[in-house]
Amino acid sequence: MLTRLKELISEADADYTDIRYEVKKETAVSMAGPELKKADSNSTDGFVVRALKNGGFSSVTVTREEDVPEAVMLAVQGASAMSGCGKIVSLSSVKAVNDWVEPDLKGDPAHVSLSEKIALVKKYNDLMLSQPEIANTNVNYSEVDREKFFVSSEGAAIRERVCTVSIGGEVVARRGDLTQNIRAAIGGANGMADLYNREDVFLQKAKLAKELLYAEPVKGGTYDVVINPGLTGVFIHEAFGHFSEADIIEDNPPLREKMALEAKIGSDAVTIIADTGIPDQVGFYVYDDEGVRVKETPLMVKGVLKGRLHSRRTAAEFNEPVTGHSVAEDHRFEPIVRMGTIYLEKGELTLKELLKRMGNGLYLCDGKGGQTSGENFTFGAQYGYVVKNGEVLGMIRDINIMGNLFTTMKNIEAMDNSMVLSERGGCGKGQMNIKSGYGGPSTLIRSMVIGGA
Amino acid sequence: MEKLLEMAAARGCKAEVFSIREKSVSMGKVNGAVNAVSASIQSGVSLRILKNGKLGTAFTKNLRNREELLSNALSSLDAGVEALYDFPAAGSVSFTEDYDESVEEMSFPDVKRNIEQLEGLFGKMKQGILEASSGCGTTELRIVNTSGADLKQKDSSVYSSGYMIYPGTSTGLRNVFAGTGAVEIFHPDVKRTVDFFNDSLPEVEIGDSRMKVLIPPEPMYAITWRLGAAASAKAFYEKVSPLYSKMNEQVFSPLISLVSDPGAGRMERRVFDDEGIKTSAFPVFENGVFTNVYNNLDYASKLGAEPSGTGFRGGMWGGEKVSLSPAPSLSYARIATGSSTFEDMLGMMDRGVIVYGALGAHSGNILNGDLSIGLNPGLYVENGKIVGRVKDGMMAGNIYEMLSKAIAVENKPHYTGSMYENPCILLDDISVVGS
Repeated sequence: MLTRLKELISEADADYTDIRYEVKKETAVSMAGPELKKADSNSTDGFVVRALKNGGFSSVTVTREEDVPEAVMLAVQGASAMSGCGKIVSLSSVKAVNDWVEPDLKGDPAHVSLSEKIALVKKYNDLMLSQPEIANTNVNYSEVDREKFFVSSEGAAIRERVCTVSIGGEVVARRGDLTQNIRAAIGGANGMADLYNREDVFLQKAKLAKELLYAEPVKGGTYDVVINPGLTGVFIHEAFGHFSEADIIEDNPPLREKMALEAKIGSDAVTIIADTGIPDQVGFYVYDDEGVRVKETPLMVKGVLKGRLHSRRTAAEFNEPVTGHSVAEDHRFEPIVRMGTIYLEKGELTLKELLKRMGNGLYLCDGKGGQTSGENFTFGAQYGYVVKNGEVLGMIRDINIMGNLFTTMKNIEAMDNSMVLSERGGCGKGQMNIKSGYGGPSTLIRSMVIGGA
Repeated sequence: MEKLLEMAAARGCKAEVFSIREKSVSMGKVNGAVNAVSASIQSGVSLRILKNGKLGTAFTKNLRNREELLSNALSSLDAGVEALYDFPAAGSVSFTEDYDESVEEMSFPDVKRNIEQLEGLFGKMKQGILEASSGCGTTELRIVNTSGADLKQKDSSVYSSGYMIYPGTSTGLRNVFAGTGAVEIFHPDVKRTVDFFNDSLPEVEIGDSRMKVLIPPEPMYAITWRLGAAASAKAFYEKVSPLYSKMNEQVFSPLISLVSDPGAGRMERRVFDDEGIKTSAFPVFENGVFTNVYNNLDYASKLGAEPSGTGFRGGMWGGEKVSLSPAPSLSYARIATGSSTFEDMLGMMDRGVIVYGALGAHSGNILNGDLSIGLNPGLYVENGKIVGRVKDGMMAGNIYEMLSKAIAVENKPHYTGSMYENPCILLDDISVVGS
C-alpha cells in the first residue's frame, strides 16, 4: 500500500504533498436494559490528501481510490486558492521516517470472537441491572482498530496500527419521576486484558446511581472544591489542555500574548505534562497523522508555561518545536492539533489532609462531559459531597462547574498523592478523538462557580 | 443496491440498503486572511437484514465486496438482536426539490466570493476578530428494501457565516445564512447582531440572582435534547422517562409547542425518514401539553404504535450515518412560533440575560431535564438595553420548570446552521450564577 500511495501523489503539482490511507475496523455491541440492541463488525477505508503550494495549504478527503486523482487535483487547487490571501503557511521541518509500528497488545481483540465480546458486555450489564432501584442500563463495547499508512513527498513512509477498546455506558436509577445516572468506562489501548475481571467497577457505579436518588441538588454559588482524580483529568483537559493546543489560539493575538511561553499563569502547585507515549494508556500512539513521532511535552511547570501541542503547520507558525499531536478521528478527516494523554502532577498530601486543608466546601467526583470556549470552560461532576471542617457529609447531585482558565489556574492550591489516568477518551473538537486520555490526583481549587438547580 | 437485496433474499432474509454520497467544499477566513481550505467526497452503504425476528447490520464506505458486506450482516444476525418489524413498502419516491444542479460546479472561487460578500457587512465591528466562512455541497441518499421501497433524495446547500469574537476570547455572536443554490444575506439581521456585539463589549459582573432569560435559536438544541430524551419511545419502553405518566398533561407553559416536521423548512427537507417511513408534522408537545411519543420502526413495534417518521441515523453530535443505526430522533423538531416580536421581548426584560451560546449543554442529567450551562456568551440586559456581557456566568435549573416560566415566544424562526429553525423564547425568574 505504501508504494501505491507514493504513486498516487507522485504527479502532484505542489511544494509538499502527503496522503494517508486508513482501514478502520470497528466492532460494536450495545445493550439497552436486558436487550441486545446491536452487535456487528465492519470495515471502512478512505484517503486524506494534503497539499502545500506557494504558502497555501489544503486538504481533501475521499472514500474511493478512483477519486484520489481528483482529490490530489482539488488539494492543489485549494492550496492555490489560499495562496496570497493573507496567511503564508509553512511546515516545520522533520526527519522523514520509514517505520512500521505494531502495538504490544495484551489480548488482541481481533482474535476474540464477537460472541465472547457480547458475553462480556452482558455480564457487566446484567450485574448492574440486578442491583436495587436500578431501572435501566445502556452498556456498549467499542473496538476501533485503525491500520494507518502515511506517505509524504518528503520521503516519509509509515505504517502504524492503533487499537482502542472499551466497555462503557450508563446505569440509570429511578425513584418515582426522578431518574439519576452514573457513567462507567473501562478499557484502553492495551488490548482485551483491561476489560476482564472488572465487576467491581460496575457494581460501584450502580451503587452510586442508587445513592444519587437520595442526594440533594447542589445550590448554585461559589465554593472551594476538592475534585477527585476522575474530575481532575476532565478539568485539566477542558480548562487548560485545549488552550495548549496551538490551533485554538493561533489566530487570536490577545490570547497568544496571554499564553506566551514562560508566562506565569498558574499557581506554584501546578505542573501539567502531555505524555502520549506512556505505554498501555488510552492515548498511546507512536506517530501522529502527519508522520511526526510524538514526544513528551511539559506544558506547565510550577505555574509557568513551558510548552504547547503542535502540528507541523502550527509549530512553524509559532516557531516552536514539533510535538507530534496532529491527529485525525479517522480517514474522513484531516488531522488537527489534539491532546493525547495529559495529566496534572500529583502532590504530597493524603486525601484526608487535602479535605482538611479546604475546610468547608464541596468534594466533587468524576466527570460528566465538559466543554471549553477560549479561556472559559465548563464541566459536569457526576456526584459530590458537602464538606464541613474537612469532614465529608451529605451527597449532592446536578453539579456543573464553570470557570475561567486564568483565574482558576491561580486558584489551584494543592494536590493529594494519588494519580489516576482515564481508561476511555472522547473529545469532540470538530472530530471525535477517542484517544484523549487524561488524569491526575485529587485537587484543591478555591472559589469555583457551581451552577445548581 | 438491488444486487445486495437479491443476495440477501437468496439467503432467506428481508433486507434494506441505505446509501449516501456527499461532496463538499469549504473555506474560512480570520480577520481577512484565509486560514482553512478543504474538500470532501464521501460515500457509504449500510445493510440491514431481517430473518426469524432477528436483525443483522453491516456497513462499509467502499462497496467493493458485496459478499463481505452480506457476510458481516449474517454474522451480526447470529448475535440475536430482536426485531419485531418489517421494512416498509414505501413505494417509489424521488425528492429533488431542495437540489440545485449549479452547486455541483461550485468550487473554491465561489465560496471565496461568498465570504467576501459577507465580510463587508461586518465593517462596523468596533473591536474583536471576525471569522468568516462559506461552504457548499451536495448529498445523494437512497433507500431500497425487499418490500419494494425505492426512495431517493438529492439535496444541495450553500452557506455563509460571520462570527464576531470578543477581544481576548473565543466566544462571540454569529450570523449564518444558507440556501439550496445561493446565499441570500438578510442585512437587518447582521446589523442587529453587530449592534449587539458592540453594545456587549464590556464585561459585567452580575453576582447570583434570578432574572429573565431570553433563549435565541442558537442554543435551543440544549432544550430539544432534553425534551427529546424524555419523549423518546426508547425512554418509554425502558420506563425511565420523567414523562412516563404524563401523557396529555400540561408539563410547561401553553406558549411552548414542539413539533417534529422534517418536511418543513427551506432546505435539506426530508419526505421520508432513514427507514423509509413517510414524514409528517408530528406534535410532541402542544401548547405545553405532552401529546406524543416519537419513535423508529424498532420502538414503534415494541410499544405497539404506528411509526412516526422520526427514525434517523445520527447522534447528538451527528456522526457517520452509515455506521449508525436508525434511532428515534428529533433532529427536525422546531419550537412553534409565537406572537411577540423580538423587540417586544427585549422590551420586556427589565433585568436579564440573552444566552447566545451554551457551554456544556451535553453535561448533566439530560433525561431528567436538568440544564446547567455556561453563558457563552450571555448578553446582560437592563431596561430593554444591552449593557454588556456576563463574566463567568451560568444558568441552571430543570427545563420543565424553566419552560413553565415562558412569558413570550417570537413570531418568526431563524436559521442557525443546523437543520431546524427556531424562534426566540423568553423565560422569567431563572437562576443565573455569575462571578
